[in-house]
Amino acid sequence: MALPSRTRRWLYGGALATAALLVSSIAEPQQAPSRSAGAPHVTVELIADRDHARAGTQWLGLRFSVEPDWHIYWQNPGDSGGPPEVRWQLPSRMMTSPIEWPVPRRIDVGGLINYGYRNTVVLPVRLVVGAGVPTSPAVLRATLRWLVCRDICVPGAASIALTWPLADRDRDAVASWSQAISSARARVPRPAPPAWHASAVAGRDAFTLDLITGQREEEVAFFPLEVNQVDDSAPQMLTPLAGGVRLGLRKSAQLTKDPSTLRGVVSFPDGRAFEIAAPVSR
Amino acid sequence: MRHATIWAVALALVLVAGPFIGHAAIVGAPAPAFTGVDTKGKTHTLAEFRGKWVVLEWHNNGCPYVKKHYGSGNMQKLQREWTRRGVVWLTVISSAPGNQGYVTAAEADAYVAQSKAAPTAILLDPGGDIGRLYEARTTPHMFVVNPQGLLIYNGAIDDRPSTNSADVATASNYISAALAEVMAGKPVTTPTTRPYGCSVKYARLPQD
Repeated sequence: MALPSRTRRWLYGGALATAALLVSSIAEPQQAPSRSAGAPHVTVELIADRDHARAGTQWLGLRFSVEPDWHIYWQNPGDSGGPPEVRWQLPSRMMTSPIEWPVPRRIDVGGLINYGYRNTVVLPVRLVVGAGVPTSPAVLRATLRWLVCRDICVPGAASIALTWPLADRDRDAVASWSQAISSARARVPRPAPPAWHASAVAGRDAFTLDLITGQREEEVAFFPLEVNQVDDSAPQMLTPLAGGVRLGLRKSAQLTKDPSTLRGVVSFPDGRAFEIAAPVSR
Repeated sequence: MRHATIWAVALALVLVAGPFIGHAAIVGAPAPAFTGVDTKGKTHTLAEFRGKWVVLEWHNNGCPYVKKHYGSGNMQKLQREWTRRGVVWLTVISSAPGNQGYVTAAEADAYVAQSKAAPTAILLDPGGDIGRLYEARTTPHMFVVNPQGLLIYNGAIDDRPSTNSADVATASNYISAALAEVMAGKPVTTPTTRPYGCSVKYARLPQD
């Protein structure tokens, strides 16, 4: 016996709604938020050096695995591009410090120069936890935005989260995560040793930066920490000195007034990297 | 003996810093004289615009930073607003053939029609000559020239260096600020900023 058409429509509508509800509840089961996210040309991951929170300092890491030939950027991206940015949502009594940037590399993009990272890089982040560690699971969420480029650029965004205490399968990974974070921290430039001396002279078109390290240096790269001072794509003219090295750095087209200090990172081939601040004279 | 040392140091400084020549596009100095061909095949020089304000906008339609300003309608709005007040707006495309942003004249005109852009002209610079003359580094990279031919602005389009369209509404636009100030006879508050965007896609040099 056929049902009246109005009733049939109501039944079909009800069945459809129920099906939709079932499907959506299957599609969004209760589970821990994801610690990693895949995006075009890069995978991002949140790692930590411990499997559970403790009061005091511990270290997180934002691990970017970048497709070969592509790159992401340092805090000063150079001629173009922009650095990754992170916003944190943390349980109460937990606080992060800004990203600590491992020493970058110079990346030539058709004659223009970017400062950034290829392949895999971990950006360490210090986390401080106040007294009274939470007993219930703590979720640390990082919302990331970045630009990944090769000859073209692709902006990306992801929200990843790490839950403490870690699930069993992640606990086995902590040793390697901790190692990766330590290696990255070792590549974050340190303040220059007190015995070093840096000074700069501002010429009409270039700065001459003298860095006295106590030994002759054959090779060094300078990465400016401020924008609009140094021309990023100009070659850095290098002259070894008996006790250090001299660099000729072309001035930026955007520089209108000589700065009082030239701040930057100096990076040596043996992996040493330091932050320097050279007073500028004429 | 001391004189010799002073000369030696001076010579050393010149030798180290010597190879660097000054930039061509310096705020306060005459803007570099360019020659360019537009999408209609007409040749333009900077000199022909003497007596007018000129804006140069470096462009690559595939760059996410450019898409931010065109997708939101921001660039078109600026072009319409200022050309209506007599400003000459030149969009310059310095992407080399085969690189992102490179377009034929017909494609460039089609983009203008489809995006409802309103530049005075689009200069096709696939050889990168105008780009290198101005040392254009990013898309967008903006320059403003005054009626006397002096460069009065060199830098970013606004103060929000992101690819996020939502930032356009709250950004301070440096071009509008500079033009409004100079047209009112006031000095430009912010004459240079670090340009932000994708790198200009000049021809790649042969790899070693």
